[in-house]
Amino acid sequence: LAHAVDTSKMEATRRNGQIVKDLGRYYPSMSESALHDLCQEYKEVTIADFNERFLGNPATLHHEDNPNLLLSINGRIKSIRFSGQKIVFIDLYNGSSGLKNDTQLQLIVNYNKIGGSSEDKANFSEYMNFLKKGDYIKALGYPGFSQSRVKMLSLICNKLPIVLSVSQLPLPSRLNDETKIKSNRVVDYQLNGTQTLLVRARIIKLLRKFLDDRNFVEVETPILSSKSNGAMAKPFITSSKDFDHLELRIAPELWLKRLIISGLQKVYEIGKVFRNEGIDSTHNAEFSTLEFYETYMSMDDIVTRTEDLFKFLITNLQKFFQDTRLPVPKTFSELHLALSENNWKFRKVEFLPTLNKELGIDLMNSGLDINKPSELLKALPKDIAKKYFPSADNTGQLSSLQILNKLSDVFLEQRHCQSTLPTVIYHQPAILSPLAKTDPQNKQVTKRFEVFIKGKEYINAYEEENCPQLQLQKFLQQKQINELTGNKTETLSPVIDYQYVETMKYGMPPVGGFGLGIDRLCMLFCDKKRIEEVLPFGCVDDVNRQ
Amino acid sequence: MSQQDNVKAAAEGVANLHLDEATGEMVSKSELKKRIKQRQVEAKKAAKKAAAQPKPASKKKTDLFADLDPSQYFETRSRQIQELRKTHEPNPYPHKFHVSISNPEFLAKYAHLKKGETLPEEKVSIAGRIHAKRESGSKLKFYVLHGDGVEVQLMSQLQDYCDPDSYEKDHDLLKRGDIVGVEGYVGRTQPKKGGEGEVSVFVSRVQLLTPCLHMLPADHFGFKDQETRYRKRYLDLIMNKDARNRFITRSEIIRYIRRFLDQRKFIEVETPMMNVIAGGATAKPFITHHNDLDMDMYMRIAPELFLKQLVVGGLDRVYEIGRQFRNEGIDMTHNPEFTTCEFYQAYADVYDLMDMTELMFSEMVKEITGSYIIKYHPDPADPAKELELNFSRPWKRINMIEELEKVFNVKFPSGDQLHTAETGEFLKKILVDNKLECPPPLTNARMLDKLVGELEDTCINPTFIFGHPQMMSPLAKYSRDQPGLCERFEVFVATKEICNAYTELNDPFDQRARFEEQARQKDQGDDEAQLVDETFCNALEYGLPPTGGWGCGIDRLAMFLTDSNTIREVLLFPTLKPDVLREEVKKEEEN
Repeated sequence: LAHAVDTSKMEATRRNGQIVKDLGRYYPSMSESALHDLCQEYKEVTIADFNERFLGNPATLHHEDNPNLLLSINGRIKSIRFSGQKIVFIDLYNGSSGLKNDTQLQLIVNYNKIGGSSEDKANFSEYMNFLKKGDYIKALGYPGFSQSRVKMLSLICNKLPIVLSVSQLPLPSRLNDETKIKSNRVVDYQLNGTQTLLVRARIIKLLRKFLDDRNFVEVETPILSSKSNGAMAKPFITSSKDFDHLELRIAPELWLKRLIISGLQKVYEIGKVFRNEGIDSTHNAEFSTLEFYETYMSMDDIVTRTEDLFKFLITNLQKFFQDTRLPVPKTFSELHLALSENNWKFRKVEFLPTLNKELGIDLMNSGLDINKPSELLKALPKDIAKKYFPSADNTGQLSSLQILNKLSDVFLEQRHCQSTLPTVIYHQPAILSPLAKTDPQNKQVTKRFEVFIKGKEYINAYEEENCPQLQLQKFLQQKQINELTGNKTETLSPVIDYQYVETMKYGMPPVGGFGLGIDRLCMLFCDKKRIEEVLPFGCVDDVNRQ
Repeated sequence: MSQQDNVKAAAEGVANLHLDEATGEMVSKSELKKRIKQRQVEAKKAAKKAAAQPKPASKKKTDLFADLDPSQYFETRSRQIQELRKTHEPNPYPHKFHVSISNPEFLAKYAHLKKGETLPEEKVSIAGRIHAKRESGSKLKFYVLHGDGVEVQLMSQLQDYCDPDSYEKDHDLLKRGDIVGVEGYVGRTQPKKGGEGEVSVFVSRVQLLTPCLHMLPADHFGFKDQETRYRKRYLDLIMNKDARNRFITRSEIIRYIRRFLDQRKFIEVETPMMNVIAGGATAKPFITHHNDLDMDMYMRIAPELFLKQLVVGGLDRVYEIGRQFRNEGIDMTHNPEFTTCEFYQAYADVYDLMDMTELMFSEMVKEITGSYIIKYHPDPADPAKELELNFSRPWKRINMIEELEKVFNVKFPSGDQLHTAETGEFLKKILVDNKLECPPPLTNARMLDKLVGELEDTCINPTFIFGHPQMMSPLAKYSRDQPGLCERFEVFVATKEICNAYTELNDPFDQRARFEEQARQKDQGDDEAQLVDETFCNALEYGLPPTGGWGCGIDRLAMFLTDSNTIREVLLFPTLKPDVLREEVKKEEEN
């Protein structure tokens, strides 16, 4: 094996030496007049065109070669093999190597059928031996069949292939080592295909179509501003000549809601957000989200809209997989089955009543204020309090926000959200939802819901708070919690966005808001467990290595 | 102990805020005192005025809100709404209102009605923001409602109202700027003084959905101050239809480009915005810091190098519409963050891209504006100056060097000599002779760029400029026919560049040499030159097919199609310095 590798490297070194001496020959421009002269008689088609025309309809050729139909095809050498010294077989392919036969074509270069100068003939062997896997060539010839028993459809070359670009680094035969894949996506795509990129592009396209068909307006809101807000996260900070302090946005929410105030009835943005936090299998420093806002929507309306969206995405992606013959990811099939069997409806789990059932207590007792940590802890069963909140005696260190988040994680998400059928948890406590509107029937909870699939959160949505006084109170409450717990609680930014509150006073209609993590959705639909697998160049760590 | 101190300090901090019961705000003690005193003074003034000129009781109803200045209006209105928030008679912030038909659909569906024709059986419910309100006696009120970009008139007659006893009370509550829902039947009004009448809702019930606490600018005087329009874009969009239409057009441009490229089998991707190296263009990057990794990161200035790596990876046609960040000054046509579209197509050259560019833009302009010709006003200081931009094909094509030779009446050195010191002297002479100034450093590339600026100023209709010297384009492929030049073009419209494209350099040896040349220029003091990107050079070594690359500034396109002369007009929220007054108010409130 070492010998083989060494030979390959030595051969590449010699070959590259030859290339360096005549760069113009191996890296021609598509505008070269010589190239045009050579190709003048040939009609240019893609591999897909060729296959669609002849493979799908063999009768076109009457199972015979057609030397009068001169075709030119560009592509990349996938494999090259010699039959004796006068016949060379080349498998040519193009872009999306994840796809099947549409994008692959066999070339047959036969010394006896090569036209052109005697010089071409004399150098046939040397010329053909120069070509390597990974090179880009233009093939000139006519449609025909191999003479083997199988009679494979091929392009019979009547001229030597023209080199368009060369691959100077030999491609390995396989690339399965995860570390190497992360460090060199370019090679990964060449060897293992670009299926994930194609599916991701389709998902985003479908999201846009769903919303555009319903007359939503797509907008772009600022990434750079003097302060970021709208979510619980730490921002990246930068500066410029004109601005001493700029932050990268952690969510576009407040900007989008300003546009609702401005008079857009339906608005959405698909874009990047940036959070200066740890990196793990499902988190990256920059990631993509979809947020949309629609006026006069109740929480139930948004749930229905979400169910419709999933049906639209899944049914259209199913068609996409069929049309492209890409393998259907397992998790996608499971989700498709679960939803279609349930008439495309989600499971519904209400926050506090379910928590009550799990804990055997009554958190909705009118005498209990769940915003007070001490009362909350007192209401818990002793074994639960001891197990999950051992330092409860020192109440100053815990906020009700932290307590409720923990209870939610253990008793709701872990126990009720593991199904493939999406689960809606709704009516979150008000203290957990500072931007959401309060439930008119119960002031301690909000008209908010989250959607979980197999334990992971995909969607966060709520009726937006549109009363400026109430919103300010909630901002102040978050700030107070932050201070009481020594900045250890994850809350909205302690810097209150007074400008936003002021903006609300011009009148903000009742509006439903929706947020979706696109990377996470891609992971689900493509059956990937780590976020870097659905990012073209991986996580920020990987980006820095390439 | 320290924890308890923190708790105590925080509690005291919160305790320092006091509730202003009139407006519902939590304010500092001093602010509250100030407000109370102001109200007492106003009360005294009012009492004095009443005592000075007692009037006999008038039959005419007094309007509590008439003749108030904006801050008084806000205070009075806030007090009123606060009362409603307690009593819920009615609830000023209800959760939902059922809309049976959108405003545009309403107008379209009933446009056929004749003057005076009504359909009492045709019930509708709509919602929107009140822009105008007027009364005709005590039993007839008119409103103009804005929503979804259109106006709908409401006519409320006492005899039609669901509850005549609350008619007066319900309507007194409503002010300009309020968002309301209405139910009623459809008809077209029959104005006594002539006119066609308006398709209207004849109101049976009206409900306040969200009150507007601030006084809206008067329609008569409008809301035109440029700075305020940027800082309060919501008011701009509420008051000015032009502003709203600009952003709809922008949305249409992006949608058109996506459709154009999708139809040609391009794959849309998203590439990283943060990296440890800034490459792909000549510009200064924003720098930020990743806490966990403890390293500096650069915001991308162009997505080019990543997109080309994807072509190496096997995507023959790929594009990205996304944000770029450049740490440069702000002026009429530049913002720190802006949006571009870039695409790369294997086996295409600049001539293919020229044809595609003409087709894309000419048909886009036709589809979005209805004509290949648009009127453009480039100078805010001179509104009378108007340019006519004709996008119909074919577009003029200008060879850069040949044109420069004509304009400056000189003979340029051959292409392969353009990078030499002798050429440098040649260029300096042209600059001096024509009294043109080029800021240091005086590299050949920058001086040439300065000269080309003179050409650009003559390009009104869309024009291709091609035949760039190689040294100006480190990522473009050399021209086979003319050594020293590369295969690249730019498109200029109304003297501004909207598009830049070239046959991509796919030779890794050549690319590395050019990066190193740029690095040398960086040592020479050019901050904008690029560093050597080893990762990118390595990717090229795996083989990049002959590829055409193309880039376009979306914001600039939007400026032309919406007849805007500053980039801020086409950015919903342009980057602005924090509002100093607002900062002071915030500081005061926090004390």
